[in-house]
Amino acid sequence: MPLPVFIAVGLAACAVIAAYAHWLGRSARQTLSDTEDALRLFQAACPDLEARQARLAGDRHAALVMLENGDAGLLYAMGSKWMARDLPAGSIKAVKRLSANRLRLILADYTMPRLTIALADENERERWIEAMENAARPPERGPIERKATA
Amino acid sequence: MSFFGPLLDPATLPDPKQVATPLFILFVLIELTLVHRRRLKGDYETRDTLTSLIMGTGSVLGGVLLGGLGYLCLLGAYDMRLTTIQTTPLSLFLLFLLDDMRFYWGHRFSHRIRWFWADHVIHHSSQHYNLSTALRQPWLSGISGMFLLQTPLALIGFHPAALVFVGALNLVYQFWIHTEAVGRFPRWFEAVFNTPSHHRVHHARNAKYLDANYAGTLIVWDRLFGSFIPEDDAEPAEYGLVKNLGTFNPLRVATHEYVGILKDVAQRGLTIRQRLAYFLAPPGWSHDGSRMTSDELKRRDEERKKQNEKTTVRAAD
Repeated sequence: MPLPVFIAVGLAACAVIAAYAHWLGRSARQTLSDTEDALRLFQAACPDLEARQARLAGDRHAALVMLENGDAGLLYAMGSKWMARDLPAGSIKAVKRLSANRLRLILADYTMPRLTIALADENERERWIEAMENAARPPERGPIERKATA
Repeated sequence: MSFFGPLLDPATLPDPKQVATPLFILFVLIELTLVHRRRLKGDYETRDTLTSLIMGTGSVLGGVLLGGLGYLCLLGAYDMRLTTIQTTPLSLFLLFLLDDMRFYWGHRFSHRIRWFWADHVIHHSSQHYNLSTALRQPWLSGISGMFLLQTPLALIGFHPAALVFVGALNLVYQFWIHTEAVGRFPRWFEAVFNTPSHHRVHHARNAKYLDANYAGTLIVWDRLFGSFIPEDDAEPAEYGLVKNLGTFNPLRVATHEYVGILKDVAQRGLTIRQRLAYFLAPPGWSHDGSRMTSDELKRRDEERKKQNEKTTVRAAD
């Protein structure tokens, strides 16, 4: 089979299988039941870090975790699995307000460039931003950049 | 006809991967359906599966665009061969066995040398373990230099086309072992062949299971060279990387470890030796000890388990 045909057939197969998986309902993202759940999952993923407290996102697909060392950590649903990271100084490049109830984090991590967090409550949103500012801001860089989406 | 059976023209050997591709797609669809209906153990997620399939398609393209260099190298080695080994069914069988050992060592280097890991990490980057994971293959293997491990076989006298053929057969064999749907086979089979149980261990991120079961087709190489770890029902495998990816973007999946190497090498104030070590030391090595290699992770895990045992015994007393 000529290469262009093989690639075209391959991409068509990718689309068909992905559409089928979606149709079967395999696109649902994991949800946290409570803060204990978030702490347990974060601790399992990052056993070297001591998780102290967690705040859940509005849609429960993410949690901000406060660590014993003063940094923040993040637990985020990657489809049906979880991904956890600590957020040391300099790990967040910017926080954008996408809409009234969504924040976008731009991270200095090639393997996790941006994340969207659902936070409907204004107070909760401010707490997340504050926690991330306090924990992730490099002292030499000044305050974290906040951008409003046009 | 030769002593080893009917002569084959190596140039006319089929491409096993191309022949098997429609079956790969069919079996992914069947496994997905049965997993969804809970008839089989396993897990599928749409974006993860799509990324794996795009990586597989891209690897075919990458192989054609970048694989020429490796093949030229094999042809050059074949021109300097010690003898000519005719391509026959029997010599292909012998070559398959030799190439399977070559695969074992290449695979082992891929886990122990960061430059090779940068290519191979793609295959391990899914947190799922199903037939689509088998298709999650790197795009840039042609530049890794791993083909150099095949040159001794060409120097002995095996034709490069025969080498490519048996290498592809080995990869086709490995497709079916990427599944949670199969438990264990009879003991004799598990003792000789690489199986889903052995390969689940290989894909696990649990510290206990890291850097084990590198086999392609025959697990005997792991038993022989001391890298075999059996699947422990008391510790189910968790799949993926020690530090899992936070993206499904195929371009980032394909290049992330190369980017990591470049960032590390470009740090200020490093010696040449340290910069080289970021290419050649095991993944996880760092000049300031801020990260952990798999050996260190295993050591720490064992210490933790011993500590927990002591605590449990004290509590029981």
